[in-house]
Amino acid sequence: MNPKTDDILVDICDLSKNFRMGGSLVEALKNVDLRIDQGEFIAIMGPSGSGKSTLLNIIGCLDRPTSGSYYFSRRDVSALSDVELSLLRATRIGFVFQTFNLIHQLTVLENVEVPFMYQNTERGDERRLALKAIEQVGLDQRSNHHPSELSGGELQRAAIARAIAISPGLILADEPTGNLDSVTGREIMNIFASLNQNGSTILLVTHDEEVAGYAARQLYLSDGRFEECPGH
Amino acid sequence: MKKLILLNSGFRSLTRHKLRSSLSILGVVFGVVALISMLSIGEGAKREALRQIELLGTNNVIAKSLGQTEAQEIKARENLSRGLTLDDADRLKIMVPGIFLVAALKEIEAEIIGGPVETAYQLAATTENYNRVKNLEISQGRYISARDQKMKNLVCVLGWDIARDLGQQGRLGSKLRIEDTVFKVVGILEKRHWSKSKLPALTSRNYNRCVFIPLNSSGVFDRNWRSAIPVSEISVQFRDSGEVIQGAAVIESALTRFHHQVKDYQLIIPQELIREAQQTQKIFNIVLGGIAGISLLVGGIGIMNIMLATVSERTREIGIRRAVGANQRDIAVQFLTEAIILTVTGGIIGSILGCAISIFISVLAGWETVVTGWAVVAALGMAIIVGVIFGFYPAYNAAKLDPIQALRNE
Repeated sequence: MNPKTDDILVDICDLSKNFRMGGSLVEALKNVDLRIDQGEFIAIMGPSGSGKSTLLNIIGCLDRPTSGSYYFSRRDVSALSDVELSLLRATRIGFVFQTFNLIHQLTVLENVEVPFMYQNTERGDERRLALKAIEQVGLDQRSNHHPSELSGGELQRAAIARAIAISPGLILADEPTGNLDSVTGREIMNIFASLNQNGSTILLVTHDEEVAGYAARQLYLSDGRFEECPGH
Repeated sequence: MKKLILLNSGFRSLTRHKLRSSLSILGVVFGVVALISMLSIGEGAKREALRQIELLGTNNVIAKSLGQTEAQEIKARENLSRGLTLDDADRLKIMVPGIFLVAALKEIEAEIIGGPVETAYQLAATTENYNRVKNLEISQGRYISARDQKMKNLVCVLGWDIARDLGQQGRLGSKLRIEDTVFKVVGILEKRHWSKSKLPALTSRNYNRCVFIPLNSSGVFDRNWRSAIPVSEISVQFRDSGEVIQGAAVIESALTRFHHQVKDYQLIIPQELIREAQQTQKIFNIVLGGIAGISLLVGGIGIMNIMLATVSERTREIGIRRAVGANQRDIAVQFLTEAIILTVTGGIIGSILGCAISIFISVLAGWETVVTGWAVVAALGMAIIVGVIFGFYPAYNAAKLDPIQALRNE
C-alpha cells in the first residue's frame, strides 16, 4: 500500500497534555508526534502512567490536548465544540475498553445500537447494522441477553460489536485483553486481526508483548514521549 | 424513533427501582390529588351557585318580605308601613323604567284536605304572570289567568311532584279541597330542577311541591283581610339584563319611600350574587392554588433528590454514553426525560386519584364536584413543569461530568 495524503487518518504534531493533580502539574504527554494511516494496526506499549490512555482519549476525541495540533481525517479536532466532537465519536470512532463498559440494563443488541442514537441522522437500518456486527463477532445467539448473563470474552465481543457497528474510521482499544484469560484474550485479538485484514484501522494500547505482537507496528511510550521515532 | 428509544430506556431505568421511583413520585401524586380534588370542589360549588342564581333569573330583582322583631313591628306601625303589598308591585311597575313584568307571591299556611298524608307542599297565591317571571313551564292545562285573578276564581295549578303525590286528585279538572274551600285543578307544571343551596339567600322555591292559586282568591284563608294584600315576595323582571343593577337601585329607593323608611324587605339581585360568587371563587382558587403549589414544590424536591442519586449511581453509564458519542445535551435530555416521566406518572396517578376522591366527596358529603378537562390538563402541565424545574439541576450535573472521570467511576 502506498500511503497518500488522503490516507492519513490521524496526524498529531507536537502534542502536549498537562493535568493538575492536587497542587502539582503532571505532564502526561510531552511534544508527541504521531501519524496513523488508513488500514494500519498499531500497538502503543508502555508502563502504566506513561500517558498511553491519555493519548488514546485525545485521539478518541474524549479529551483535548493542552497544546499542539491534532488532525483527524484532515480536520482540526482541537477547534471543535463538544457537539462536534461527540458527533465525531458517534460516527467515526469505536471504543473498546479493558472493563468492557457495556450498559448493564440494556441487552447486547441494545448496547450495540446505543451509538446510533447519537448520530444526528435517522438511518433506519440501525437494527440491521447492529445485528450484522454482532454476527461478525460470533455473538448472534446472545443478542438478547443482558451483560450480567455473559462471560468475559462474550462481553468483550459485545463491546467490539458496538465499536464496529457504526463502521468507524478508527477503532481504539484500551487494554482489551486486560481482564481476560490468555485463551480468551487470543480469541479477542484474532477478531481484531481479522477486522484489520478487512480494512479497519486499529489503535491498541497494551503492556502485553504478545498482544502487541498482533499489530503491524509497535510504539513505546515512556514518561509522555515515544521512545522510537513513530514516523515511517 | 430516537425519542421513543429515549422514553423506553427512561422507563426501564426507572422500573429497575420500582419502590424508589414510586416513593419519589408520592409528593407529586399528593400535590396533583390536592389540585384536582380541590379544583373539582370549587368548580362544583361554582356551578351549583350559578344554577341557583339562574333559577332565580338573571334579569330579575326580587324583594322578599322580612320577618320583623317586635321593636321593628312597632316602628313599622308608627310609620304606617304595611310591609310588602300587592300595591307595591303595582306602583313599581309604573315607576321603575325598564321593567317588563312584575309578579307577586304570597305564602299561605293551609292544609289540603283528603290529600295523602306526609306529603310536603307549599301553598302559594300568585298574580297571573308569576310563571312568566320565573320561567315555569306548563306541562298540562294553563297557569292562573288575569281573568282568574280578577274574578277571584277558585282554581289551582299544581307542581309536578305534588300532582304525582295527589294521584287521582292531582289530575287536570279534578277538585282539590284546601281547608274549607274547593279549588279546581286547571294546570300542572313541568318538572323543574331543584336543589338546596348552601347559601340560604340563593335557595329558590321548590316549584315541584307548590300549589298555586290566584292571589286575589287567597282572601278565603285570611281572616284579617285588609285593603292592601300583603305578599311574601315581589319579583321584577327587566327587559334587558343591562338595566338590572340600575333598576334595582330605583326599586330600592321607591320601596323605602312606600314603606316610610322601614326596612321590612330584602332585595335579592341574582346578577350581583353571580359577581359575588365569582369573587369568592377567585379567592378560593388562590388559596387552593397555594396549597397545591406547596405540595408540588415538596414533590419536586423529592424528584430532584432521587435524580441526583440516580446520576451519581449511573456515572459510569454516563461515561460510556459519552464515549460512544453522546454530547452534553444528549445526557441532559436523557435525565430530564426521566425526571419528567416520573412527574408525569405522578400527575396521571394523581389525576385518577383526584377524580376518585372528588367522586368520593360528592357521595359522602353531598357536595357537587366537577372535574373539568381543564383541571386535568392544568395538573399534568404542572407535573411537567415540576419535572423540568427540579430535573434540570441533576441533568445539568450529569451533562457536566468529565467523560474520562466518569468512565473510571466504579
